[in-house]
Amino acid sequence: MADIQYATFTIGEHLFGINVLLVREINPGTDFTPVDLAPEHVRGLMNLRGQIVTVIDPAARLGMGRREISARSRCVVLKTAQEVEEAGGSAGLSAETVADTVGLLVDSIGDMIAADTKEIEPPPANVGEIDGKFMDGIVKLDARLMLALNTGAVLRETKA
Amino acid sequence: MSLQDRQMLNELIIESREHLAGVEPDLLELEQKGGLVSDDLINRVFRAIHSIKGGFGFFGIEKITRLSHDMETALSRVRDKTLAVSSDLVDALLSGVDRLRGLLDDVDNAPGISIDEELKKLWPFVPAAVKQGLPKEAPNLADLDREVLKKHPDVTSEQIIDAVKNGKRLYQIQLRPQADIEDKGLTPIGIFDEWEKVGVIFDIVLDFDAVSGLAGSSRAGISYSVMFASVLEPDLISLATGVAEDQVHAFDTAGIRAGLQGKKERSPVAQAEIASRGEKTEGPAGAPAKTETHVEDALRVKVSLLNKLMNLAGELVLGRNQLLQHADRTIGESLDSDRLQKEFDRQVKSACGRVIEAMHKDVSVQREAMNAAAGQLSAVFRQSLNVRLADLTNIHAIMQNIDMVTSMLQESIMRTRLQPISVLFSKFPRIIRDLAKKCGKEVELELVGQEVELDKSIIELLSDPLTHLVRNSVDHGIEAPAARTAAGKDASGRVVLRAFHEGGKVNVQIRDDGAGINTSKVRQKAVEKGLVTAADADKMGDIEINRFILAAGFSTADKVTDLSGRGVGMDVVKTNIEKLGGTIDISSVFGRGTTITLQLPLTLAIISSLVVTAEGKRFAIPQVGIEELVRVRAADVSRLIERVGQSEVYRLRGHLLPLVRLAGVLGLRPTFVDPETGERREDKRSRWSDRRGKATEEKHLQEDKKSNNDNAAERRASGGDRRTNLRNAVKIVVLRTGENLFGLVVDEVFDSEEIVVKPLSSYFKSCGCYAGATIMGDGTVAMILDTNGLGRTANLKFTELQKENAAEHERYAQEQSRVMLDILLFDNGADERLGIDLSALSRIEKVDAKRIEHIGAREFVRYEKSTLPLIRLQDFLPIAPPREERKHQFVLVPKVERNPVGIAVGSVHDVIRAEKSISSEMRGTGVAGSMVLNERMTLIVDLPGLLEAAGKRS
Repeated sequence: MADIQYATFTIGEHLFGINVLLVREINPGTDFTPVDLAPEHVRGLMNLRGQIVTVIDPAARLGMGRREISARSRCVVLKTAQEVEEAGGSAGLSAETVADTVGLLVDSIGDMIAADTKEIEPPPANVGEIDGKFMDGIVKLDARLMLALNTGAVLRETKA
Repeated sequence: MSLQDRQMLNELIIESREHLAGVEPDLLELEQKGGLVSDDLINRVFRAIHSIKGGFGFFGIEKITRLSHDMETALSRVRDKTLAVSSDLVDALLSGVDRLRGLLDDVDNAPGISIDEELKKLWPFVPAAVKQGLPKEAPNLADLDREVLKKHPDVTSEQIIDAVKNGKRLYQIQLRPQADIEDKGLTPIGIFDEWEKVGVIFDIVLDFDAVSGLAGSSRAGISYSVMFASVLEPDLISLATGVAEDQVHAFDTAGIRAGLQGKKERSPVAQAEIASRGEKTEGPAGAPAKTETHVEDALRVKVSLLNKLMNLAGELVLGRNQLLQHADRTIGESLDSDRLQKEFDRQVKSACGRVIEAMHKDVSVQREAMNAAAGQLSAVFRQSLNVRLADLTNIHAIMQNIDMVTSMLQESIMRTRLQPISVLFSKFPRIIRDLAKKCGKEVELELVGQEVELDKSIIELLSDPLTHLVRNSVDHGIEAPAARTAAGKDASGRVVLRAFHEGGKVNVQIRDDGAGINTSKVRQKAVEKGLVTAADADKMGDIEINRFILAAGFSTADKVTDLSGRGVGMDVVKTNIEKLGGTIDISSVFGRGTTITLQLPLTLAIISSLVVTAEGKRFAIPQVGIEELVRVRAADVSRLIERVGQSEVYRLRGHLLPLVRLAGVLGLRPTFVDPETGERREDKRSRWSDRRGKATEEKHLQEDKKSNNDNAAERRASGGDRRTNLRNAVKIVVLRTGENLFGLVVDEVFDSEEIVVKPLSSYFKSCGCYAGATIMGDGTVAMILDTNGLGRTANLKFTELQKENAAEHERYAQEQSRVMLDILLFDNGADERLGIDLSALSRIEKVDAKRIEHIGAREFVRYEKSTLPLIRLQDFLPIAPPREERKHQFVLVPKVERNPVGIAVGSVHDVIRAEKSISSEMRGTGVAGSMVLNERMTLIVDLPGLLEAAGKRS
């Protein structure tokens, strides 16, 4: 019955949402230092008040290619798995993030959307070019679809 | 086990470990002084063991309780002087301590750990009676109370302590259902509800003792025993509960309270946790424990929290710097704000005056005046925006304050990670004792500088290497008593562990007065093992030779003992110390002893690093891995850098140094700054050596000439060429990876900087060439390069180069055999020409004369963070003083292990290579002789002689 609060953002044509309990802060910080030899979806490192944040480009993982940085670009900084646990998050929730502090580079930030768990439908095999494994589900909104991003799948897997 | 219990248990384990750490040195002192120690010491040990017993008894961990109980018993007999202190007793107690430690490390599996061995050792010291069973541990209670409490096995010590802590008293109330409830027309529920209003009911049981004690077994005889806690005084309790006074038993809680207070005095911070754990203070009349050296008044803080604080402090420093910069500028602009302030007042007054004056005139004049005044005020207001800046002068003082506080804050937070080295040192008395016993030697240990603080992580990593070194000292260094006496030494050897600060680093010294290192044996072994040629070995000094003991697999021990001698250790010590960013220094006099000095950074979190760039990106290289910097002039590039097989190499004093381009390793496209447009463009040229290969040398020579001509033409056209201008000199950072050296080619070399190392996110581990990341002064992130990782990229080339290198070695050796010297030619500001062996110098500095300070007759020059004593050549050599004072002074800094000095010279002329043929005619103090160089007679400075003379003088 419970509602899940989603923080939404756009990447390309798509509207994505992630559980707001995973979000530490949203930062205009697109001012990161690129790191050579890093995997394609790892854009670089950002200084967040003395803490180093690894900037991840989800689009590159989703097969949409690295995003261009624009004035509307934002970095969604996620809590670490430990922080999620300390805040009383479930194991499932902490599996959605990793031990390092990471930020997701997105094209722009959208509204908060509350969805009843009943409204969340299982993900199809794919949405456009995006593989279903990167989605926890989809929520049908009035005008468009919101894809619940499986951040765990985006952040992990290709980690060497 | 509940989460709360688990937490309490963990706390208890940590505290118990601290107790044990304190017990060990006390036991050793006890043994040393043969029991002639103060009662305080014995009491301290006793209390520590007792606390452990009590604490774990509470959790029902029987193995710990059992063992500590026997230890406690033995100790109490020592205290009561019914048992004499013997070496066996201390042995037994120490092995008990060890086992307790083992149990603490694995509390959950404690039942599976055997303590029989330790108990057996303790038996001779424990009276038989005590060996059977353990009295159940309970809080400080009178015997009578204990008996009463037995009726209530479910009441926990924690409940009791808690109640007492909250100022409650404890009562056991005998409640007769018939007389106290039914006869009074009450119900049990009703009566208990009443009681709960004035206190807490812990437990209600049917009192069988009371039942059997009463005549008959009628219902009237049934009795309940109730454990009740209340703030009410004993005389009020019967009134409040409605039972007769003789049915109320009041516990004597004074003991518990005293216990709590004892704790309180000892450590206010820890009081709450201790109390809640149900621990108590033992000892005469609950006197506060003597805690001079043992219990630190401290809080446990998570390291992650400290790290976070450190991050924030770092960021605060950054913010402060930006603010300072900004404020300074603004304040500068508003310096004449005083004048503006007066002007503002004057203008306002005049505007007001104008309006007032117009009041008595007709409306149109009034309107006009108002308008004018409004205009005037608005102008003044605009000005006032500037005037407000006047406040900034006050802000300046505030800024200064913030500046200071920020710096102090950062430093303090940094210090929270530091721990006294005594944490580490304190385990050595025990180690030395056991080792000495095992080896049949007598060893005294002296610990100096226990208060010196080091980063927690360094202390942890230092533990193993230091243990190894100490073990070496006892096993190899100190001789057997007979051998010592024969050599005219004290029968008992001495090992001194000393920690001290020097030049912003921490030094840890292990000194023994043992046999010392047999340098000739080391030399022989080194040659045998092929680590060095016999000829080279003969040329090497003792210090250099002794360093071979650090090589992997090197051992001069004739036999391998189970303690040491396999030749693995020192190599590991060296690797570990270097991993910490430290260095090892060995000095030894054969037959007299060995001193090993470890030099360590204060903290791992901050390292000294060199900032370099490649393709406009900044990187930090830890100084530890850097051997030297080489700059190849653009004009020399084609001559000095050549190609061997697939790799580019640079000839570095008889060694072919494989070169790795940083940009290349990182996969960066080579670019250059277009001199015309200032843009970065791709550089098509892939190697310098492309212009020159060995086989086609001549052809290339011609081409070179041609290209030089072209360049000259280009230079005329564009005012500079990217290939030959100064900025295109090749900068090589010579790095060491294991035994190999390689050169990292970078675009620019900046200053050395202290950087804060941030751990690397796991996403970059696979890159292989980063050691971490750091935040630079301007707030941007820069990567820290991993020397070994970069080396791996170059590794292929080492094997490739091996053959070539051997040939190069040969050639160089031949050259060396002619004893060629690189001689630095200089003068002392007068006519004499002087020369010095360049290889004996570590660097040449050009310093501003203002940086030279005079203290008494001595001179010092500030260099980086230290000061260098300065010596003047005319004070020692038969030469004239400089004719005039110069604005800049050249200072030669010789390579020395200790007590560095600077030699002031006039100007530096040249470096020339010459065969060593010194005429001894001029030989004297500090002068090796003379040579004719560049057609002039040149005095050759005898550096060791000069330094010795200078050393005597100071």
